[in-house]
Amino acid sequence: MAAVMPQLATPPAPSRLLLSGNEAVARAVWESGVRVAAAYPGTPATEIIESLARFPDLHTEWSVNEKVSMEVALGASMTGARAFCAMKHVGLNVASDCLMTMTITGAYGGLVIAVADDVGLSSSQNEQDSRFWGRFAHLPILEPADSQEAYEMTKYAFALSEQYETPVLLRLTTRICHVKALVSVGEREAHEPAGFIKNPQRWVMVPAHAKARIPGLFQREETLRGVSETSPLNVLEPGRDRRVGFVASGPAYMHVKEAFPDAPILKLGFSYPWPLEKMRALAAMCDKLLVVEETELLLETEIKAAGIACHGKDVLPRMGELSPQVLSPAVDRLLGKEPPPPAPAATPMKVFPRPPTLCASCPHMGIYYTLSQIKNIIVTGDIGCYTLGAGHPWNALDSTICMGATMGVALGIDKGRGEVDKNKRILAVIGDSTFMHMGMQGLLNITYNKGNITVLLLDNNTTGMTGGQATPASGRDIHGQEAPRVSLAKVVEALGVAVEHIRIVDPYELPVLFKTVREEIKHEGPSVIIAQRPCVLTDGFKPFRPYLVDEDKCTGCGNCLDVGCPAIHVTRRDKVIKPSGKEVELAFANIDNQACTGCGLCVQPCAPDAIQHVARHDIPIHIVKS
Amino acid sequence: MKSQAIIAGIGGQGVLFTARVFTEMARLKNLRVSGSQTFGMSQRGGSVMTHMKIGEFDSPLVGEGDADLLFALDCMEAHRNLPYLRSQQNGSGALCVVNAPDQTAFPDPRVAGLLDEMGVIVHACDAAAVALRMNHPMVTNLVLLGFGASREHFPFTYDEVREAIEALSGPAQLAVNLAALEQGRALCSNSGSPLSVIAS
Repeated sequence: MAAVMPQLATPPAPSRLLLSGNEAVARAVWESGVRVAAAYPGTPATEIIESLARFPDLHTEWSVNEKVSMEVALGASMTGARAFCAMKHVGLNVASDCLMTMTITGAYGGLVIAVADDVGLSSSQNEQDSRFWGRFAHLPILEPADSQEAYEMTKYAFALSEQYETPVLLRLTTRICHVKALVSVGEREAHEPAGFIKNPQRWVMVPAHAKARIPGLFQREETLRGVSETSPLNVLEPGRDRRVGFVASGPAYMHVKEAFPDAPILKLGFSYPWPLEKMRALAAMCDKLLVVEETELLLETEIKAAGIACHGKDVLPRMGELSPQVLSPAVDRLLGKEPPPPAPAATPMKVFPRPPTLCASCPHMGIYYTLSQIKNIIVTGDIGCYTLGAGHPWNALDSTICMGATMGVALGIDKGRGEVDKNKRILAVIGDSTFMHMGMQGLLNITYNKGNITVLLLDNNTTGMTGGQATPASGRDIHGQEAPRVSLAKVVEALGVAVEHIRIVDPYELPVLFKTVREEIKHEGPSVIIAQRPCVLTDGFKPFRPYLVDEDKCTGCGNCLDVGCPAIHVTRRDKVIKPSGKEVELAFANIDNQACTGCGLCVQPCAPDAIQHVARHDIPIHIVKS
Repeated sequence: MKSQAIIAGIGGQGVLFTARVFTEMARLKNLRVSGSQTFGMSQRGGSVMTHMKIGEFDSPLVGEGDADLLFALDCMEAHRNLPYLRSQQNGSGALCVVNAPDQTAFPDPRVAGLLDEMGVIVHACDAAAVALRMNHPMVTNLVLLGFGASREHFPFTYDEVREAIEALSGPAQLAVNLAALEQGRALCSNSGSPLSVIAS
């Protein structure tokens, strides 16, 4: 259950709402009187700002990247306004430059940074433990364990931030962000900004000013250590079964509580600075101490350094999500017991995996189909739906690292390649939103350093992977209202690409696309091909009449399957021996016209012209096939 | 009441909305509830599943061998999530409600046999075909809900499902949603034995 919050007397709850952790944070941000909230979309944090955008009386925005969102929040805090920004774990890497100096200036208006770790990599390129940022930047961390706590700790975070003039990190994980539960909520309190006060010693971080403030930073950390030591957010539950005591925070606490309801647990809600004396008290009352952390061994190391014997990652996994089922056998091993055999469960026979795919009619398929047909190329990729181009059937991407990395990596390959790669052509693929997030600098670097690279800028007019958020090039703001629309072609030109090598193509028109790519990869120097088509999940997408396969005409060549559209399926496989004696595999295909939106990508490679529009009167007959 | 359920399907089938209905039903009964979802890349036609825990639980995750109910909008996803189902050794048999286009949800006799041994009761119907016939393929999940809720051992009654749908549906969708529930219930009236499919 949610712990009692200090300092803030929550008024009697007027209502209970069913909220995800993200929605609970958003509600609390709004209630706390925040005036500015900014973020760049990123799983699992996206819905925080999406929910906030529906509340009145505050400015919410999609910033172009996480660093900018943090700077916006800091600026608002400088005026005395309460401010908030949210990001996924890798977003904080981007924003860390701001963070590491912002900790020296401190906050004026309450300033809270929510950072959501994608534990288990459901939709990320890596796994990270954001608690390290608290220690690194000497900032307090609050870690809720459920939606109610997410709501309450967010409200407390603003009070804490203002009391100690410190930014506060609110550390979330997927099992907070995406778990829905009932939350008691309150009403919005107004917080009128006190006003900006000119104070260069505080806000102008030249060496002399920063040096003068750093001792205060350490002093603040020490004060917060004391606050943490007595904070009711750090609860020592004595328990009855003293064989193993646990230290846990966030969802890990919930797993411990469910698996070992009678054990002593130190539940950390105020997890940095950590309450060392409470840890000592726990260690003194139990035979063994187990530190349960998602995901790194941060506390374990510190507890050991303090001379307290404990266990942790010696019995628990180093990566991925924990659960009661992961904990139980680990504790058994710690107690020298054989874990009991698991209860009989239905082991499924082989089930085919169902990985994420590009949508039917996704314009990216035109790009990857084209790239898969071109030999002797190296293609660097980036973060977004279009990362799926690395998979079957295209196998068209050769690298994916982090937001915007495609440009730098491509230039590095260009400059670093030796004789063996000299005849290869280098392409860099990037989406429109990623380009504006962190790709523009990479392109500037390519033009400035005379890279011989063709950039494919996939402009689907949205941030697709996170659910279709607006971008500066979509002409809409976070509320769906009209916003200035930046021209990607003009940006590219301004970044130094020659006008004649900025080509705009329709990714549905395969012959033109193919010809354009062939022309531009022959050009010695930077070129950018902008492929424009709206994402099929956005309002801008208009479906056409669906197609089906005339099975009498289908020769089983399988060309249409190379497009990679999930609406196309194989109905029959066969083998034939050609007159040359060569054995050829045939795959006869048809199209699910429920899923097909008539983009026509598969029509173009179909040799026997077997893919045809569904006649209107055929549609209902074909649908009701059961 | 304490109940653990896995809701499974493919991105776009309405797994998240179905989970929303379960949480709403729990809310209306004043029960503690948590519904834990994994999404992100899964919306691109990938496997999607929700862990539902209703009653006094702490961890939001359902363990393997712990689920009282597997509610699957797709046969293959039902198959994939079978390890979550509880065996009757841990109480009465668990329930598996599944949208199945073919004659049986688990055509492999070894799987059917194992489920039988575990005391798992399987209720399958071709909810997708019913929804298509209604010209609203999007309501497959609600047809299956109406079907499941009219069977024994489902954690909620049909009326509780209907009340939740009424609370959650916009005015434009309400009629269709309720009709879908009703169609699902109608499938149920000519009920068969465990492991059988209600022909649509």
